Amino acid sequence: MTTTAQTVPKGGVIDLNVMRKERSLWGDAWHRLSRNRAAVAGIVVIVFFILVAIFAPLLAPFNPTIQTSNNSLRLPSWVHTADQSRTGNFNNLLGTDAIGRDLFSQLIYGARVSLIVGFIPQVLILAIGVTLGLVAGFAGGRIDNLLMRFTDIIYAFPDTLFVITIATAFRETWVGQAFNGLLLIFISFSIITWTGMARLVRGQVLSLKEKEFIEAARAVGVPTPTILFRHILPNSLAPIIVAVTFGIPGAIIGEAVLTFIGVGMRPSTNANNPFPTSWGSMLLDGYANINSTPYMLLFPVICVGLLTMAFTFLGDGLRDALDPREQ
Amino acid sequence: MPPLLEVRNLKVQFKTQDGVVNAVNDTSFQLERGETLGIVGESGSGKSVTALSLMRLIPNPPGKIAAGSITFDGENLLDYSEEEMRHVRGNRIAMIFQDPMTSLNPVLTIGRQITESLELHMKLTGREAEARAVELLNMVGISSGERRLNDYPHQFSGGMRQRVMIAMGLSCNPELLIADEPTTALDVTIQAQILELINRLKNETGTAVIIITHDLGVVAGMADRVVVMYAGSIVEEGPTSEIFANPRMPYTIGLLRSIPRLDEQDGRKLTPIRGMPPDLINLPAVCPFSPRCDYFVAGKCDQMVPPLRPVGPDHRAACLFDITLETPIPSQESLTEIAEVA
Repeated sequence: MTTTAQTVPKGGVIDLNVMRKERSLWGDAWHRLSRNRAAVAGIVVIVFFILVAIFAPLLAPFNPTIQTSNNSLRLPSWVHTADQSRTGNFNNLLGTDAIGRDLFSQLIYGARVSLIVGFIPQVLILAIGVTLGLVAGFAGGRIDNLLMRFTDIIYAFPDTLFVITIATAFRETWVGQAFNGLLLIFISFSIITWTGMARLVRGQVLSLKEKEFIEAARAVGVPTPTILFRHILPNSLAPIIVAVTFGIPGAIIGEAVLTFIGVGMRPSTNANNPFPTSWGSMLLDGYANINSTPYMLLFPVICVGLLTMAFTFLGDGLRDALDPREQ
Repeated sequence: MPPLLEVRNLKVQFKTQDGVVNAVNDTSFQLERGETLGIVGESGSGKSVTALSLMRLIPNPPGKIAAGSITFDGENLLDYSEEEMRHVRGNRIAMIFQDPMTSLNPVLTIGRQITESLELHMKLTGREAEARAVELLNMVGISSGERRLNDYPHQFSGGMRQRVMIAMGLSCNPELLIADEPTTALDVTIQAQILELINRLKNETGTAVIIITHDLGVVAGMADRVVVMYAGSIVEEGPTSEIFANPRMPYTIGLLRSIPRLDEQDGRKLTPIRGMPPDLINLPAVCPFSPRCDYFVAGKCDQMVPPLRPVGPDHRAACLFDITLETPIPSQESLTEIAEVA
């Protein structure tokens, strides 16, 4: 009978640990995520749009606010008609809108608004939801009851109706005017959608605070705020990240809907405005001209669809990658 | 010199839906500097609650320390504010928990968790704390500590994690280390290593140790003195050798008879203690062990709670009678009487 054995060098000890690759929890998660094709495709699309948004002034052939006469409702470059004023040319790659602004440039700048509308409300939602969830879950008892009933009340409002009401009511105030009405969208959207985050975090805290390692941390004399932020919060980060990723497409669509029905972002005519237009306001324009130039509606729809789908795929991938049951 | 720790008439209660659970009743014991005290008893006898009370970590609500005093180094810990108590925890009194698999935070590196108390209590800077953490890891027998600091708990085995817990416990040179069933979750070979480690570190650092366990073998090998708890009260207390050689409380005798011994020649049968521990919600004023006791005497044991009385030098037991290992177990007739009383 033969056995294979590792030869130990004379006078030396093999340290078997050295050969093991260092891997953290997040490293593992990233490894799993990178094997999920849909999620990787989502990341690629998101990164693409982020780059487009950042480098919009370099990429856009025209300023999207500049109107040119005798160049309105031009068709995309590959569509040709007998009408010389409307047939496609390579000057305006995707054509122009009713007042002669370049659609391609508008789409590029529109990515800025959609992305920012996706991200900023998430920051506000995180700030409100995580704070309330942490406090409610950790304090428990009467404070928990009070905060959660408040959350239930907010949750009971119909979201869209609430946002439309707020957006309409404050449209003419300074809040409504700030950043072409974007600030109002951020606020009205955040103050109605934080409830899910608060419930999620509270649930996490409730189960985590009974864990032995929290008791152990207390036995070491760690102050309560440190326990909350250094011990409990990092443990609930995975579901929070997933929730944020799923929340972004909702906000993007929300902005498009609001702007489409005319209470969202105001298209700017100021040539120096970094956020001159959004895909939502392009949808509105496109819908108005659906009979003469259906393309005006088609392009922003494709963009909104692509971006929301990308975030949804990424969220799905993250949920699978961060699921502790797979570790 | 006063003892390091003196617990007087400690009473801990938990409010539940069914009523108030008296988890610890009128418990008093003391601990000298550098001494090892073993607290034994079955599940629900109040061992862990006593330990958590010393740290003032009883979850409130539902629990609360209803009465008594815990004098640590001359000061009553029950008078301390939460903030003052925080400086005692981990710094002067440290605790090792039962299950090393769950008592380390899974998303923080080992290094982060060890340095936390160092930065908190010893006011070390990040780099000093890390150096000390490496030192501690080496002390508990984890080699190449520098590299291991960046590892996460899931990269350690159970025994290694318990070593990490011990390193964390000893990081600030506490005067008292409470080990709450430190080996229960580990397999036997690792148990021996961990106990040996605690013993060695105790001798090196002079820390007093309270070791809580239901394993009499652990106590025999570790403790200088033993406290036996039953139904929230101390039923016997004395030096380890005395408790094992000459137990005076039927419960202790029952515990000793129910463990196998390697040096037993003939095929002695193990005699388990029959019945279940009493419900701690409505404890009647009788000997709490009486329904399970082989030596039960009707009209005596069901009349009063036997006080802890001296039965030898530094040896106290809570039994009305002088019962020793040699006392013959009474006949079956008395057993039927027990059934009637119960």
